[in-house]
Amino acid sequence: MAEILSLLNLRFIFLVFLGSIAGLFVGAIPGLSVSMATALLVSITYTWETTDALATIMGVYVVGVFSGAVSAILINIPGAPSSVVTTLDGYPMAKRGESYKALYYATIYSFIGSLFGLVALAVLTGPISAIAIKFRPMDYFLLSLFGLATVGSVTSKNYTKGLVAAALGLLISMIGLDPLAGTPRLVFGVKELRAGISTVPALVGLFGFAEVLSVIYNGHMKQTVEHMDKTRVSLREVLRHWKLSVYTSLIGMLVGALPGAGGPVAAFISYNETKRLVKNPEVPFGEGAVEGIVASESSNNACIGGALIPMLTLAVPGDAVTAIILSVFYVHGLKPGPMFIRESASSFHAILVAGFLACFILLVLGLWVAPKICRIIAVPKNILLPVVTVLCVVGSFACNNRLFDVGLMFAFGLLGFLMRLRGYPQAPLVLALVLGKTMDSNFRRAMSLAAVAENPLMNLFGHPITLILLACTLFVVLGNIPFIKNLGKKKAQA
Amino acid sequence: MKKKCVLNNAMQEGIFFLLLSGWLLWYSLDAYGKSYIKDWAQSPSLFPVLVSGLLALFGVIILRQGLAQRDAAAEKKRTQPLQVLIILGMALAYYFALSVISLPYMAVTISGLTFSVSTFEVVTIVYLMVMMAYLGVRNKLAFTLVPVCSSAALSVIFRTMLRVLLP
Repeated sequence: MAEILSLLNLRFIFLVFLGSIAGLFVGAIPGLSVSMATALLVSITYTWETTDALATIMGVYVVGVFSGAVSAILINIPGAPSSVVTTLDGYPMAKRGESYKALYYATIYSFIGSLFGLVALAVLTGPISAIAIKFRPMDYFLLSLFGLATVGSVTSKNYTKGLVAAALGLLISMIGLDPLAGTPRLVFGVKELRAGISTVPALVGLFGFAEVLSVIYNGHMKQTVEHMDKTRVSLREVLRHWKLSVYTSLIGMLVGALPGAGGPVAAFISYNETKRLVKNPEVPFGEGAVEGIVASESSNNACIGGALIPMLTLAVPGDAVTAIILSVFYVHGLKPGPMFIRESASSFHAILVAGFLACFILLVLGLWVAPKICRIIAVPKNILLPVVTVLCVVGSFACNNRLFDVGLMFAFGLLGFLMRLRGYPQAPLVLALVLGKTMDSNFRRAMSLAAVAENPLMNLFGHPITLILLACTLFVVLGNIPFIKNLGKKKAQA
Repeated sequence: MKKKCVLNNAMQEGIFFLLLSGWLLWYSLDAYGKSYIKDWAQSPSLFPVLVSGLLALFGVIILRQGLAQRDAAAEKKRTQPLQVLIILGMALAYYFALSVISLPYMAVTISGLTFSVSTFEVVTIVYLMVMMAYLGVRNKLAFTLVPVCSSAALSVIFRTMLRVLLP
């Protein structure tokens, strides 16, 4: 306790605040991402004290994940993949002139989600890692497959189109060196492709530049200034959904604790669960239902604490940002693993204290500063779109300092535009792009292990966790087949 | 306006995905043939074959959906495809300008804050002006200030404050 209190000095608080401010803007500006900001911080904080570096990074991480929702709500461009679900209901609310209300909900439930995740990190590190450590390659593969199957079902009216988008994402994720043997795949002699498709330019293109092209294609240039309500929402009304928030935070924390499956999977699973639980929302899902924002923001912020659990106890990062934080640990000579909490207690406490401080700063910034950023949607689109294009160029270049990535961003923008034009959701493609390599390597590991086993089928599926994940995946896929769907509806009517 | 389709969107997409899956299968089998790893369980071609199978399945489903809707009339919306092509052309010109043009780097430091002018700033100002003019910005103040201020802001935030390289 004394150690925790000793961390609460002005310098530490100031660094968390500084990181939080940076996180707010990095998340809110289209084309910039928390992973990019954290990656930049690795080089900046190289010479700093470990606790100072962790304080700043936790500020960026906690507030950055939340502020992805700001751009998702205001301009329909998620700041991070985990905010993709927030666009589904947040942007329709902004278009209706309820951007303040949407931001209010996003702030409160991001705060609750972050707090939940960090409490879980402090309390449940042991038991959760005990489950996660039992995961086998087939389980990782099935978990990712479950995520993709779920994404396809929540983002498109036509389930097959959702799955096609996921398959395209898997295809793109295979570009580059194969994760196990190091053999080049689908690179066609282009040396820049050997490192694979960078997620940042792909994301910026799919959500940023594709939006620019879509707006121009639909000719919506004149209906630019959205009406913004000045009415305040009562906290009592907002907190009506606290039970849903706790439930989706739990999903987020659990999914976050599973390596590889981060905020996007958690947000989609939670959104799907919320759609199943809330039968009659005041506004339909996808048209501005606040329950959608509650689910998405609670779960993706709860992932922060969850994702840190395997990173600290197993040295396996839960998502892209924790992967970068892991490199900060190595730079500062820390060794994450089962003995980390005992050997580096001060660093563990610094993470927790900085995380909790960042949660409260998130609340202040979200309620006080984020609504001021609302003015961005009042800018006419014929001024905003050229600036967004430049931001997309800068964001995609800054990631690897390669002009090739800018070209990649434009290519993904065109792909995203064509997908929107034909009714294919982009979210499954993004998720598949992020998870593709993990799926590929784990699938092959599972197959290799099965090939040398006495009973290959039992080796692949004879494990309780595998069976549960397989059942969940089949449930989602079969539940979306029109014939079975109609059968269910007929039964319900009868 | 309603128009009857011979080969509707879904049919075109179904055929495209079938061709794509066929190509991916051919590519994977070809790579497998040339590879020294002959054990399928460890082969880098295993996952691409799996994905090509999935794409083929989805392609067939979409093609079937298209065939089922063949007689349905397609709704035609008012859209701006030419504008999209022009914007894409401008973006490509911007990209090539950033790659090809190389201006000398000039920097001015005022009260510790460095303002730099180089290829990115100049090309971005020109690009923003051209794009805004094309999209119909007629307000002279906005037409001048937005390109200059946004380029300067990006330059200061990225180059000076975050020490990030710009194109």
